[in-house]
Amino acid sequence: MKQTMVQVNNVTVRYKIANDRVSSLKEYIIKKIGKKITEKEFLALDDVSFTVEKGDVVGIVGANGAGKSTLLKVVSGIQKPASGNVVLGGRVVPMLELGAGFDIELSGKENIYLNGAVLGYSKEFLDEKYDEILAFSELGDFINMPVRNYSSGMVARLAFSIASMINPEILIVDEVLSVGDENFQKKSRDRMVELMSGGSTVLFVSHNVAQIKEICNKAVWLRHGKVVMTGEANKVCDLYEESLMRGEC
Amino acid sequence: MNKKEKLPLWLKVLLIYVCIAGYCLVCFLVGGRDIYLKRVHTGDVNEIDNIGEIVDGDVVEQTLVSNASEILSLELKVGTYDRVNDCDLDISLLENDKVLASKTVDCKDLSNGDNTITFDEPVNVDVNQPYTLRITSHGAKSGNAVTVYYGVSNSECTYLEAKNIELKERQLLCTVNGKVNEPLGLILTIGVIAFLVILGVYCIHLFVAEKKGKHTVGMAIMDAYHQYSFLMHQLVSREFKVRYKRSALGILWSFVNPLLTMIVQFFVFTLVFKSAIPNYIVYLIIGITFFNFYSEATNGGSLSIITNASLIKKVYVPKYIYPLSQVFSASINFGISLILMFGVALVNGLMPNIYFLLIPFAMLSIFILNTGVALLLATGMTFFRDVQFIYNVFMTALTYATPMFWDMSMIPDKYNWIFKINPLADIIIFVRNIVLNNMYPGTDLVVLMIVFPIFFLMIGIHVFRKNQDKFILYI
Repeated sequence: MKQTMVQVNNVTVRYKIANDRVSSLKEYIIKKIGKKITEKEFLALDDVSFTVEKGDVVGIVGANGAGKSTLLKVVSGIQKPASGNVVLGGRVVPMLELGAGFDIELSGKENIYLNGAVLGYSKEFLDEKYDEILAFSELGDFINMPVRNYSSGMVARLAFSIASMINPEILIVDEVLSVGDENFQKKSRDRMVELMSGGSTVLFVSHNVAQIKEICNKAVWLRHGKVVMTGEANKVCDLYEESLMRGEC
Repeated sequence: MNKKEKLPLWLKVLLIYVCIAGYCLVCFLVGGRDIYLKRVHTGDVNEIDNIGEIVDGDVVEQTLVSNASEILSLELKVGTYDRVNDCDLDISLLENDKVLASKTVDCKDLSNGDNTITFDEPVNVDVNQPYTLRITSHGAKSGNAVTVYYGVSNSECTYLEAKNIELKERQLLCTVNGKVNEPLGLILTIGVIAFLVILGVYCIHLFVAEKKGKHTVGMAIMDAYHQYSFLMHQLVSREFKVRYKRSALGILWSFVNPLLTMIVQFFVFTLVFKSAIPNYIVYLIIGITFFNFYSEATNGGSLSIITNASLIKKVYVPKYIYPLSQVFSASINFGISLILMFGVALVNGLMPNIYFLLIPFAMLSIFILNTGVALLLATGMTFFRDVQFIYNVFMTALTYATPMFWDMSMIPDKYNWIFKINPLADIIIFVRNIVLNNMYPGTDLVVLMIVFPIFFLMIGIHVFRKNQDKFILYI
């Protein structure tokens, strides 16, 4: 029996939408006294449940605002659900945005260590993998320059090199493969496939349905925070595409 | 993330425990008997006049009631008539005509104003019992004598007779300095022993639970340390690299900033305000060093969640890491400016004394205070952006409310407690007493320095934990 890596149980995430963004004490007191603060609730995720087993590559599809990114945030531990829980069978490495924690004043090398530390790598691991990261990013001597001088492509290459230089138990990817030039896109796609076939469990969000059909073996379809269906990737994607053409979602 | 364990758990826990217990023991040994005593002195007297020249044969006598059980010295207001007087002044303390202690002072050594007359040995007396203070002079005649001042009597048990004339409802301007039993001393001792016992039991519990594989808070803390120490290190060094990247002085700024503040304050308060505090330079730099640490740590901590907003939204890292890293980076600056502080003290002739061993306690106390306040402010700032401005006003008020460039002696005794409530004031007064006065600062300060920072830490942790899951919605 395969090991369960991610178990999502009845997760509900509620956002309060105040009719006016209050960010100072003065405003808050005045509005509270005037009873002008009304809060509406918005269910970003509504009783979402599914199971991911070891080695699964699960694609998450849905229209904008369906709750895909919120779901990834809950699984990574960044967002706490209002009810329900997520049980993890291993450590989560999130790739929600490349270059999390990059500081533009620091050099590329310093950022490798900072970003690596943020992602949870140890100093020894980074020392070991430093040359590999540098080689993959193809930055050469630019690595010692402050990141503020990098082009956006260079930043993306560096960030991806750091993030992908691991064999994560659970990898969470949120539409990060659409940056960079064609050469880099190919390289990163190959690396992603390498990671995924290496036995990592992956949760993958993308609007590129073809890509999902290509890499994933399972898929979850979200609509307005609720799970429409889960199952085999091709089946789910076909049904999703059909409903898109019909103008639903 | 399995790193090779360099030391077995029991050894690590034992070492930590030994360090804590050892330091507590050192502190008690350094404090010694003084832990159980507190310094007291009698209160203010409103001056009226002097009693005229004290010549040979004149006797000045009054009842003396002490709130100290051990009298160390008397402070008399003396008048020298702005001339050199070649005579002796004899000050005696009597109990029913039996001399308990006596001190003879050469009048040439007396100055106009308050003079401290220290007895060769502390005089043991009963608290609040009447004794007699007798002042006589030898070798004095008219034109070559000193006088003492008197004022309105403020206690019932006083009787002043000078040159055979009784002055009703009057007493000499005489402050009694001494020590009396400090009840907090016993409380502190019991508290520390209880703490060490509980800590010891908990360490054993930790060890036993670890063997059984059960989860404990202590283990959670140690695991968190292992897991996040590298990240903490990276965050702190990022702070330094970015801050000093474009500055000319770089890290030297930790030296120069307090030095400049001290110089400015010194000139303003000695030349303009004519402050008479001895060793004023050292007095100032101690206050500046500790206050700056508090200021930097809490301000940095308050902004920590907001400035790291993008990180918080992308990766899960326990959020307390952010304010804590600010406190740590402020600690490094504090360490550097401590070197400056000790340097300034040495240059001014103040040698390290045994009480310096208590300074780490002060450092720990302010560190805990800073952490608690930083956590509290970080929470506040995340929800309400104007907390920053309110806090700035508060900090300005605190600058004046903390005796940094003025002395507590300028405050009437009965208002002392208002300033003692300020933990920052307690810490600064504590360190100043050690460095400037070479004495044990007093158990009351020690107790306050334990209670208040821990109180703030508890509140800070509680408020932070309660709200941290909501941060992400507000950044």
